[in-house]
Amino acid sequence: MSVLNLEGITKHYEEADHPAVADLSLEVETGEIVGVVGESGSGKTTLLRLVAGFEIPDSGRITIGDELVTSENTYLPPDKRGVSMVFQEHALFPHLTVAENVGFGLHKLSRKAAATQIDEMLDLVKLQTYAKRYPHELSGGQRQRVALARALAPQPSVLLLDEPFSSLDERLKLDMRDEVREIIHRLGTTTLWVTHEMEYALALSDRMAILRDGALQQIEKPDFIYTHPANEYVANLFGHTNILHGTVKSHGIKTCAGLVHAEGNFKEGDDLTLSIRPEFLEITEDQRGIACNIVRISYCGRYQELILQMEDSCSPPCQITLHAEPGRRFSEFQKIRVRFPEDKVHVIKR
Amino acid sequence: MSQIFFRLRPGWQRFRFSMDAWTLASSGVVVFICLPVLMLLFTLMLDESPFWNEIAERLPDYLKNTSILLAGTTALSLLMGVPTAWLVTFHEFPGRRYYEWALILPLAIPTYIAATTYKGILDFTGPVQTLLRNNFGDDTARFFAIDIMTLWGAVLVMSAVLYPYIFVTTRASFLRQSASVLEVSRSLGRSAWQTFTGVGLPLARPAIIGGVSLVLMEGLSDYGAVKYYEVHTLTVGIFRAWSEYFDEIAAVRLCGCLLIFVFAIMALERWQRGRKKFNSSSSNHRPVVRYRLKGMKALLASVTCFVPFALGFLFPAVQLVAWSFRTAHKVVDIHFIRLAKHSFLLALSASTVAIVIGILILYTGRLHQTRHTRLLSKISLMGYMIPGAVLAIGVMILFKRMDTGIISIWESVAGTSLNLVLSGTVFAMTYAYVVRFLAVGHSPLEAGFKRLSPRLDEASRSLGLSKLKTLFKINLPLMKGAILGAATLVFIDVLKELPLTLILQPFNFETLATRTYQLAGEEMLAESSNSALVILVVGIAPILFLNKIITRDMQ
Repeated sequence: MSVLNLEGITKHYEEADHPAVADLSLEVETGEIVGVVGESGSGKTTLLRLVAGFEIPDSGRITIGDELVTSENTYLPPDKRGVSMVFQEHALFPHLTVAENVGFGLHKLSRKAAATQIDEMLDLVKLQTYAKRYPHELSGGQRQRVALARALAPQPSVLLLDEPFSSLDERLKLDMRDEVREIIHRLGTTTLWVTHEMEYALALSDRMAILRDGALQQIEKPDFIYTHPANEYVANLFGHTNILHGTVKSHGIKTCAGLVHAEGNFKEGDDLTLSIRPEFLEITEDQRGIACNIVRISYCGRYQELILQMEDSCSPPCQITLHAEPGRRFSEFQKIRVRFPEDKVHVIKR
Repeated sequence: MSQIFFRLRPGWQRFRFSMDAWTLASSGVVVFICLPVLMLLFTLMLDESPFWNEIAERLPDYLKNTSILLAGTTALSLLMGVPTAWLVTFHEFPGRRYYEWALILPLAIPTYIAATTYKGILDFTGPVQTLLRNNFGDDTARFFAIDIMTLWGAVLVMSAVLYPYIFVTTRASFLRQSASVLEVSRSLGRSAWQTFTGVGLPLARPAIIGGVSLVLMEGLSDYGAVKYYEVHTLTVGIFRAWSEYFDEIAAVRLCGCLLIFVFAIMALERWQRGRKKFNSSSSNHRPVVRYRLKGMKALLASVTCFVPFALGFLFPAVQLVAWSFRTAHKVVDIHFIRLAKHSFLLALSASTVAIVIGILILYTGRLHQTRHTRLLSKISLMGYMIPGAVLAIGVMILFKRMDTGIISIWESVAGTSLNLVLSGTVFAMTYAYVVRFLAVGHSPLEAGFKRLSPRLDEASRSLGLSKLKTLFKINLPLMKGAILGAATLVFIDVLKELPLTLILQPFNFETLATRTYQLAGEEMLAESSNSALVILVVGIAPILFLNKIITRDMQ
């Protein structure tokens, strides 16, 4: 069952050239964590603010649970929506203690019930001993946890997280990512969150929605998006990928880089765009592999990046990127042969 | 057509959803604030002024005196404000740290108190003449006798207490100037003086003009000083038409003339704001290293700073204290304390209402950032542009009309007669203070709101708190300082305000300001010092506080 339902949402700010969110539809299932990924300015924060009720869309409908909260004639204010938001800069109330912050949304409960709930939440985020501290006395990670506890305490039907890790340093980010995932999963809270960092989106989302210029590009499970990007833009979001254009011939797909094979049903003469990730390319001794020269070698720690130029290539010469294991020795201008594994070549456009 | 509709509709929708209780309440309040001015404009259209011909004969004189007063005060204030600001910002000399704030103190002395005090100082029986007479004989004393009670005397006295407006804005601008810009000038072979005139001054020009416009507004609004010195300016004319001829339409017409001056000043201020771009300093701002003055130069700098401070604060304050010592036992009795209590309560209630309205309008603007709310905020600041006497007459006419309406309705419904209801009450006075000083509280409140991230409000809203509860639980507790600061500023201004109070004070109702003015008018200068001293002392604290903010923000 879907808890959050967006239908054809469009929001165009007066000053802007193009809409922040363009005809966007999205459904979030109960207990699901959906990560919205996009570059800055892609409209992902606007999307959250529309759901929270801080912005009013120009058109479209938003339903939370069974209740229509936004439409052409409806606008339910944020305090009536039962949606909690965790802000990028946390927005902890500086004049209230940790416990008061966490209990802020519990004004409808009795004092005793609220106190119990605050205790439980502080327990959940492991901050019991900090209940009486003020936000300025906490570390970045602790503030993050207070913000999360504060948002979760009223048991919202939907939790919204706006770039939750961006204000933390790299090491803390990893710890917090795992902690947040554990907490949200334990409570089973339906969550919509936005980030520009692909890595975190992959690890913390049941499904990922890719946003570009306010338009939804693809919404799928992370592993599927990684292997089957819907278009060139999505493919490139996960780091560099090799994009090849080719035409279907009787014996394979003819591309700039040579003849490759891909899974799927094509007609001869179809024009295709293919993507293959650098780490999926294989170096082979097999004479059927495509011959190429190493143009440049960069050592990247976990792998070596080889830029290869096809020997038998079109002009301008076609270059592809390959990630090889770090231990192996290569030299520039060395000749090697590579293979495009059929199941890793993904067709992104027909 | 459909495209126009597409672009229009979102705006309309936003407007519709923003029409909540907050917007309606703010709109209502702002309409109420506009009423006196609308009333003036309406009265300006009427043409049944019985004494207009008689009053109009004096108009050229009023205009001439007002112009000379403003021009003279501006020139002299510039002379006292700009060089001192340059000295204390960029140079080191004995007493500099102390002059930084001492030069602002004259702001605590209202023009009418300075005027009456100087009359006493330079009087035949005053300290100057007595000293001269006792040491050098009658002739010398007569030779040095200064008649302060002239137009030029008014110019001198007003400049002495108004120059700090220029000093403060200019100094703030100097503090913002990057040291490197000035050092470049010196390294290219320009002397300190050439750097001042060629770089420092042009950069500070917008700020200086900002300060000048404040001096002009204050000079224009003044009634007490010019009336006391019998300089016939427009405000004096307004009062005369109002309280001697009882010709309200003629008074309103003179108010119209005064407002033309106001518009000219506003135009000047707008023009300089347009040029403000030139003043924006780069982000890598480095504070100045003060140039240490030695010997004669240091002495000269000290004297340059001492003169305005002495004229604007030290001499009048010492004279007031001396008088007070002599008369306090007679004047400060149970009546005096009651008078002070009245004044404080009046100022307190006016500042409370002004702060509540200010918060209402600013919070509405924070909730809905629409053209409508921005306009409301702008209109609400209009009162400060209207000189006290003009506003008071607008309020008076408005309430008299309202009274006539209420009385006629009452009499037709109840059949009994009814006296004045609103006009001539403390309510009318409070209302006028609120309209006039709303702008004074506005800036600190606005700064207070701006310091709070909108995310705090949103966090509270998304946790289920209404707009009102969010205001009370998040915004207000976090801007206590700003609220207190704003309330203090309004409080002091109400306490000092004379012309408005003179017109609107209910029968037998006095404030510290009107008592001071009345006693001075009855040649009881020494007696008037006690209430004047209360106003002065209360006024000093926020000035020092304000100076701290300027220095902290700029350095």
